[in-house]
Amino acid sequence: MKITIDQKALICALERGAMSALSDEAQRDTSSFHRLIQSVKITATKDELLFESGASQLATKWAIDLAEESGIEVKEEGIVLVPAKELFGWASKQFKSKIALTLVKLKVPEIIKTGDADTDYGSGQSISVKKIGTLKIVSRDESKTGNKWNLDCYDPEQMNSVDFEDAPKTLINIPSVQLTDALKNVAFSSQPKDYQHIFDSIVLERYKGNVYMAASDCHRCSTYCLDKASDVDKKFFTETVSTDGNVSYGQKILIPATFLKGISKIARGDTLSVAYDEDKNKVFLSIGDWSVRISAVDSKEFNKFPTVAMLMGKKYTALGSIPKEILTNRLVSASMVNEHMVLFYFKKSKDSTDTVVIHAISEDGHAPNVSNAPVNDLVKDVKAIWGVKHIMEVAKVIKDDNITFLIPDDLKSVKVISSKDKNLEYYSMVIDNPKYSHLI
Amino acid sequence: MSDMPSPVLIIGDAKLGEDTVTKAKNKYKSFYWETVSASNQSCDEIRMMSGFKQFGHSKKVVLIKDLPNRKQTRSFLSELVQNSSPTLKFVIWDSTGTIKIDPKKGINKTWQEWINELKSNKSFVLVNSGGDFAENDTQSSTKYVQDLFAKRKRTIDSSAAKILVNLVGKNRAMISSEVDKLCITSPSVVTREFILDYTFPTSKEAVLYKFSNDMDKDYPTAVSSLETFLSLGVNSNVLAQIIVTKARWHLMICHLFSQGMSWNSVRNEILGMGKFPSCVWHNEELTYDQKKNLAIKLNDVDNLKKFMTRKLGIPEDYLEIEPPKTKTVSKAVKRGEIIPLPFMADMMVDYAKNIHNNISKKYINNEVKSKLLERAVEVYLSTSDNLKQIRYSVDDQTECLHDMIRVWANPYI
Repeated sequence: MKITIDQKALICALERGAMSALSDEAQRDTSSFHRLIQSVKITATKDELLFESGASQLATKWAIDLAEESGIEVKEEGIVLVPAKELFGWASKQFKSKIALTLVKLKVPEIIKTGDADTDYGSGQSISVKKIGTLKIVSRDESKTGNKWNLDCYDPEQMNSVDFEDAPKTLINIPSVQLTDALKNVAFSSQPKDYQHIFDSIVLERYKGNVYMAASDCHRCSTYCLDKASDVDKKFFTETVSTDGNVSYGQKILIPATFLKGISKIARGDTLSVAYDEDKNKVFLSIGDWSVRISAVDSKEFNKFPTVAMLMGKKYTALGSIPKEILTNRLVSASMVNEHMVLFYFKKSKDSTDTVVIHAISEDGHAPNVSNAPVNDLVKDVKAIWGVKHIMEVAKVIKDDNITFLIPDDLKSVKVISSKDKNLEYYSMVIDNPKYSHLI
Repeated sequence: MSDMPSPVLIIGDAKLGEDTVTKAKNKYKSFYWETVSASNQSCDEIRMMSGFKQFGHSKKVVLIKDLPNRKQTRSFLSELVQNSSPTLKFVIWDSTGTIKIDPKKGINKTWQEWINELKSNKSFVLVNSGGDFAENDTQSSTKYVQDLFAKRKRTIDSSAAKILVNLVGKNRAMISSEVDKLCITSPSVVTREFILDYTFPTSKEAVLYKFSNDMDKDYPTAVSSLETFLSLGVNSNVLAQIIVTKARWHLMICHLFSQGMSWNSVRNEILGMGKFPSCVWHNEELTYDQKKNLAIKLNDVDNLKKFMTRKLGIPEDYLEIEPPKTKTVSKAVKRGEIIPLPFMADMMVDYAKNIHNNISKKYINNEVKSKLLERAVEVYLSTSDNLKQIRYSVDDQTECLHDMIRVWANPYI
C-alpha cells in the first residue's frame, strides 16, 4: 500500500475510523488481543479509503470517497493494520504537512507472541500476532522537509471487520444540530459510570407521538423532545400505555452516553441515523460516511431506566420562578455549608414580594446558613429539600433569566422547564432529611 | 421473601464480606441499591443519598462501604441507621478491614461499643466472617474447613483438614474459595490424598507438603512437580533444602530401622524428635497422645516450672524462667527440626518401607538392612553436595535439582 494524504484529512479519518482503537476501553486492554484491538485497519483502493477499528463495546468505520475528497492519492492499493495511538499521535504533530504511508512487507512474516505467563494461564490462552511488515510514514511540509517514522504492521486478516451493510433498518433520523442540543441539555443528568450501564446511558423513547432523549442518574431526569426527528419507526417505538393501573411499557433504546457524546462532538453530516439489532443488543449509528456500532444494555434491563412517559404523564402545577442569577448566588453561598442538599421554603407574603428562604444545615461541623431570594408568581407556600447540585446544574443549562419550578400534589419531585427551549424538561426527586424536621 | 433486616453490619474477611453483599443484592433485588463510601463521602452526602427518593423504585438499600476509624463517622452512622424503615434499609460493610478481629481477643473495645450501640436497633444483624486465623491456631481453622465441607455435604477428617490449611494458608477467603473448587470434583468423603493431589498450594509452607508428597510418588511425578514449582518462581534453594531435609529424615528412619526397631516404633520415634520438651518426647513410658497432651500443657511457663520442680525435682531457686522480651530474643531461640504433622512421618516411613521392599528383592535377608542404610547415607551425602553446589556455585541449579531427584527416586544406588 502506498498513499499520500493531507495531515488534516488523516487526523479527521483517524478520529472517526480509529475511534474504537483510541478509546479508553481499547487502550486499557491487557488481553492477548490488545495489539489488534488497539490498531486501525486502513484499506486503500482506487475509489475509496477506509479506516476501521473495533472492540466489543465500540466498532467504527470511516469511508472517504476519493472522487469527492481532494488531497488524497492512492499510488498502490493495499491494506495495513497499525497501532492507532502511535499513528494518531505522530500525525497530529505534522502540522500543515502531506503524509505518505508506505507498506514495506517482510519476506517472511514475524510472529509476535502476545501475553505472558502471568496473565495467560497456559499457552492455550495466548495468541500470536503476525507482523507482516513496516508502515513507513513520511511527512513533508511547505518547506519540503519533514519527519520519518516506522510503525509495525500486523496481518490485517487477523482483524475481523464489522459488516455495516448488515445493519438493521433505520428506526429514527435525528438532525445533527438537534442531537448536539439535546445532548447538551440532558447528558449532565447521567451518572459518569454505572457498572450496569443503565444510568450512564442516554435513552430514546416515544411519548405522545414525539421521540424524547433522556438521561437520568435515578434521582433526577432530563428529557428533550426531538421534535425535528424524522422517519420514526412507530412499529418499533411503541408507547407506554397505562390502563386500570396496569402498565404496558413502550420500547426504548439505551445508548452509552460517553460514546454518543464523543460521536456528536466530531460528527460531520446532517443527520444521525439510529438502528438497533435486538438479538445482538447492538446499536448502529451512521452520520454521513461514518458508521458506528455500539454495544447496548441488554434489552431486558431497559425498563430499569425511568420511563419518560411516566414522568411526563404526571400532573405538575406551577409553583413560581426565581431569577437565575440570584438563585445561583444563593445556592453557591448555601453550598459553603452543605453542598449536597438545602431546604427551600417558598413563602407567600401579603405585604412585600414573595420569597424563598434557603436553609443549609450541615452535619460536618459548619454553622447553618440562611439565604433568601425573590420568587415571581408564587402560587403557594411550599417546603421541600432539593439537591443543590441538581438545581445548580439545570440552572446552568437553561438559557432563561428565570428558573421556573413546577410541583406535583404529592411534593415528591420538582420539575423545571424552560420558556426559551420548550423541548427541555427536568425532573428531580426530593430528599428526606430528618435534620430539617424542625423547619418543616 | 422475608423482610430485610436493617441495619446489617458486615465485618471480617473482605472477600467473604463481598460474597455476603453479592448474595444480599440478589436476594433483595427489588430494592434499589445505593453504594456510598464512608471514607470518601461526607456525612452530608451520605445523608442525601439515603434521603433521596428514586425513580422507579419505592424501596432502597444504602450500602455504606469503606468504614473509617473516625469517631464522628461512627456516631453519624449509628444515628443514620435509626431511620431504617420498610422502604429504607442500611448495610454497613467494613470493606477495608478497619475493624480488626484479633483471633484471641476479638473486636477492640471502641468498635465493640459501637456495635453494641447498633444492636439497640430492633432488626440489627451482625455478619462476622471472622479475620485470618492466628498462625499457631490449628483447632479453629481445622474446624472451619470441616464445617465448610459439611455445608456442602462432604466429610473430611481433621488431619486432612489440617493439611488443607497448611497448603492454602490461614486466610478464610482463600480456604473458602479452595473448598468451593475442591467440592466440584471431590468424593463424599474427602481424603488426605485427594487434598494433596488437588489443592492448589498457596501458603508459604505449601511447597513443603506438596513437593514432599510428589517426591515420594515416582521419578516423573517428582520431576514434573519440581518444574512446576520452579516455574511458579520458587527458589531452587528452597526446593533443594526440602530434598536434603527429607534425605536427612530418611537416613534417620533407615538408621533406626537397621538398629532393630519396628516400622511403627520408628514412626513414633521420629515424631518425637526435636520437639520441646525433650524429657517428655523421649520418655518411652508415655504413649504418643500422652506426650502430645503433656507437651501442650508444658508450653505454659508456669506449668513447665511446676513440672521441673515437682516432677523432675529441680530446686526452684535453680530456675530463672523469663519470657522473651523482644522479638529478636525470641527469634534467636533455635528449636530442633521437627516433623510438623504425623501424616508426614507416615509418608516418610512408607517411602522407606517401599525402598526396603525393593532392596529385599535384590539382596539376601541379612544384607537388606545394611544396604538400606548404605543407600540412605549415599542419598543424603549426594543431595547435601548438590545443595552446596546450588548455594555456593554458579553451576546450573536446575541440573543439580534434577540430579537430587534422580538420586532420591532411585531405589538402588
